[in-house]
Amino acid sequence: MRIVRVAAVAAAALWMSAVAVCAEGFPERQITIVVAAPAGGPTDTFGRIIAESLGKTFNQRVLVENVVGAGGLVGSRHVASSAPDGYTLLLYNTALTSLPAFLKAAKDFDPSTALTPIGLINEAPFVLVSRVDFPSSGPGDLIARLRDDPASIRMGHGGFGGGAHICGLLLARALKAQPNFVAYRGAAAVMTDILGGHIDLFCAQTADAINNINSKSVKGFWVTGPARLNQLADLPTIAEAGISGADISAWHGLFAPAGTPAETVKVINSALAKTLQDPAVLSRFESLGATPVAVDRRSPEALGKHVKAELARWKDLVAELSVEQE
Amino acid sequence: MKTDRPTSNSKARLLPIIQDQNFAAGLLLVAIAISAYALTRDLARPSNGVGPATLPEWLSLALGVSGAALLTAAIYKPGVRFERAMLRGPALIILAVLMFASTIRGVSFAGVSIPGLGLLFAGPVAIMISGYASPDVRFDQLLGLALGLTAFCMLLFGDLLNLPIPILPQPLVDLLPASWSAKADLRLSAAALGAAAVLILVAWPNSTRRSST
Amino acid sequence: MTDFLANLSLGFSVAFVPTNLVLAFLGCLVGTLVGVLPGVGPLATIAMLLPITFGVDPVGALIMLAGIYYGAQYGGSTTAILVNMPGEASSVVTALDGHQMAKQGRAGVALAIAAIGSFFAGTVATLLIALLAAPLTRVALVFGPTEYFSLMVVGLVFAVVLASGSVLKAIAMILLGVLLSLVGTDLETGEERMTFGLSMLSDGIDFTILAMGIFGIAEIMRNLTQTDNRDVIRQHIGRLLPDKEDFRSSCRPVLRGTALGAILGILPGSGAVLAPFASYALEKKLAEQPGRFGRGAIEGVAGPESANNAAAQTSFIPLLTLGIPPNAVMALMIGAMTIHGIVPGPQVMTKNPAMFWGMIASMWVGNLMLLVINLPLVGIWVRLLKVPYRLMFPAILMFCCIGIYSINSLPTDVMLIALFGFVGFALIRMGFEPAPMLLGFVLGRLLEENLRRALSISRGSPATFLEHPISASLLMVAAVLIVLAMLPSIRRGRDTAFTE
Repeated sequence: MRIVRVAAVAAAALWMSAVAVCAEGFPERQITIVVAAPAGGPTDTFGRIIAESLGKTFNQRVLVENVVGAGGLVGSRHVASSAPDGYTLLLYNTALTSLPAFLKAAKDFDPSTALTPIGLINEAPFVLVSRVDFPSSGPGDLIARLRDDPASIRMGHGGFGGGAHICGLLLARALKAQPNFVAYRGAAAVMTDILGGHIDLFCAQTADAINNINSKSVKGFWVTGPARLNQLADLPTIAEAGISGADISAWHGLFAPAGTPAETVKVINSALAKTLQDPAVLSRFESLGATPVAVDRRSPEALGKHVKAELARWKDLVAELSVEQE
Repeated sequence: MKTDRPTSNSKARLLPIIQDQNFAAGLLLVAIAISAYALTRDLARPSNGVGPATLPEWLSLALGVSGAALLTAAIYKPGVRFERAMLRGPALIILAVLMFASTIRGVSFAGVSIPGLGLLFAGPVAIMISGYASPDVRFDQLLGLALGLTAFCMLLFGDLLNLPIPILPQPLVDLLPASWSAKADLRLSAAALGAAAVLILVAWPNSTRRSST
Repeated sequence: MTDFLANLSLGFSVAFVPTNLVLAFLGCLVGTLVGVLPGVGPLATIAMLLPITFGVDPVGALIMLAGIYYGAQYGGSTTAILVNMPGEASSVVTALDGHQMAKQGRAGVALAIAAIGSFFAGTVATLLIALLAAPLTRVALVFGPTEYFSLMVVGLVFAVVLASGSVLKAIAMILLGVLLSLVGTDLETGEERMTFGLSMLSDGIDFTILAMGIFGIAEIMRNLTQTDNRDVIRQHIGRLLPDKEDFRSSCRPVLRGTALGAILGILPGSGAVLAPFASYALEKKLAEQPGRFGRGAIEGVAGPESANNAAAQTSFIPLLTLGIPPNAVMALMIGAMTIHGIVPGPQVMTKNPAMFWGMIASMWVGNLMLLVINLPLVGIWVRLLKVPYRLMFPAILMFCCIGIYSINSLPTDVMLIALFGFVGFALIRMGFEPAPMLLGFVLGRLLEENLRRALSISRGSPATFLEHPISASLLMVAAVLIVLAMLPSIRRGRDTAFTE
């Protein structure tokens, strides 16, 4: 009896998989978006907003699964080795491109070949802030001080190889002066110690910086993006402040395993484009301090190019400063 | 968390050192200390200040000292006898957990790959194996529990709490009509399991005879 | 004072809106359910439920999320008492004497006193927040890496007091706990430490996994090898509710626990974790017969539970006034606030007074509801203990596996609980106690990170710990505690310290 049933199941499974091969309409079952960061963090929040909206567009259940570990390497590898059918996707951030440069265990992981890009979701620059009583009158003065005695300036970051750390390293390379880096677990902890006056500098995320600069609890110096921020119009960009080659933006993007059919990528990309125009999504983005990526950077190709460029940039940075272990 | 002490006057009795609880404990600590020290050998050591290896080094040193102290204590002051335990229970518990872990989503390890069977199979398997860790196991009750509890957990974790845990094996999902939603599949299979559990508990020949443990 | 009353009445007018009451009730109920399930933490639940709250107004959503948070805290204690499975650092201490009480047929009393103590502590802490939230915020910011390091040192000294057996073995366990907490990628240099090259260890060992293994699974293994005491729990089930004598002995621990917890909870980052441990250590030091602790002393449940709940409440202060999340659950709440268009920070109090005071008032309402939900449940939980052990432990095991799997969706995590279970089992057989190890584990990472941060800030000068006044006085406290802890064993002579 049992054996008959098992055989029936197996036969049916074979038949179904044969049917799946010649299926034309994607998606016809539940999609899983793997978020390579823990539940509750900013990346997870993006994941859940995107999943909800994609679910509506596709009229299918879109599940968020947090696969955490090794700075996102575990989740990224998990997706890279999943079936390239568009039913397992990866939503992750800047760390995807910094992993291979900074983490020994990620040496052999190349996101530009292991994953198929689908599209960027958002991009946001960092804002360099200091404790409110830091004795510096403005960008020019800060640069002079950094050049003069970098070791006396304590710069916090939220994790080795994370956005704020890279932001500081880029600055160190541009000025040829390395500040005294203090490592924290997560950006919130760094901001706490900036507010408490225990450390001096920090590349803060946009929303966090805007709130604290407006309430005059921290000082702002410059924005690390290509253009000024509307909400902080009097802060110069880092290039305007006289430092070149140190711009950096945090981003979130959607990926599929390498080898996913171009048709499927196109379907998901256009659904993502629809999501980025959905007023409900936009209002949630705004409350997070995030703006959707510019319209001309929404194609899979743009994300692919972006990932390749960043991978090369961080590799050079690590080699030049020899921050890498071993 | 007291350990069993064979007799009240065990201190007076002369124990072979090997059987002393403190001897085993001291050996364990020294072993941990040495392996921790060895594992952190390759870490960077900055010439001044505290590096990644500093604290592990201090700790392994301190652990080694505590281990040595316990060994000394065991030699000079016989303590509690370290008795060999029956390992059948713990072994089956470990096996049950490992089976659950490897069948829930499927793993590939050293060339062997186990397919992902979901909670529908992983649950009953874990319960059936672990149940035999107890000497007074009863097959009918255990089977009823395995099926009934799995059905309950499928509804609780999968349906109610919406946790992303694999419930059904993919071949079975493909077998069910594609027009059914994942939730419907889940509820249907949970209902089937639940019914089977009730059937077993009611209809199994011995189940009316209550055991008196 | 008039401000205080006006604020409170504004708060209660928000909290007593029927929909908010229903949301608070739902939150507490879901939280209790989730907390009772071993392994499934409030973090996962809040993350899952966040989208549901999009449809609700922000105040209601936050009230519900806060309810889940308290509910989970309380539910976790229930599991710790009934089956010795602490799902969070805060319930490790509860498991120590709570589970012993359950074994003596006093599970009902332990559960009830935990609920009542928590309610009292919650009430006091709510009043404290309403009175002093603004000035307390500034106190919290005084604590930098230097002060936190010294605070962690004090915490580790508490861990010695936690042990009921040999002091030497307790110290060894603390050291081992700290060592285990250092496994994983180094924060400062990105180097992998003691990971055996395994990627599942590169983020370190998860507390829940370690605690489930070392406490829960090891307890099952131990029960299975001890034929005599397996079904001891269901032999006799005593009173469900505490009597006069119980109230008398837990009255003062509750008061002290509340005060300790309220103070420690204000510190962002890590204060709340210490609260129950500190309270347990304090009660044990003050007790006339410290030997009863670890064998079912009601003070060992009442004090820490109150401290824990008071700290859980006051940890909302840094969240609401500074926007600083003291733990992952709170970080999620900030996410929820921003999604609902509220920017946490000093402005919240002035910009959104209805939300701010409404949340504070609903904290108290939530505590009341927890009492209402949990006191009747005590009877049900205790009846659950009547299930024969041969059926109970496979069920516990399965809940454990599912819960652990649901944290990270990693089968390897589930395998780890089997490993830690066996390690815990072996340690118990060698006469080691798992509780000091868990405390060492909880504090270890904070200890190292703050040590290195402080030294990095002071450019390598260890004198920094004595130059900061708060840090210096904390280190003094630690020194005094060590002397106090050592005194009895010195008096008894070194031999007894080694063997028992």
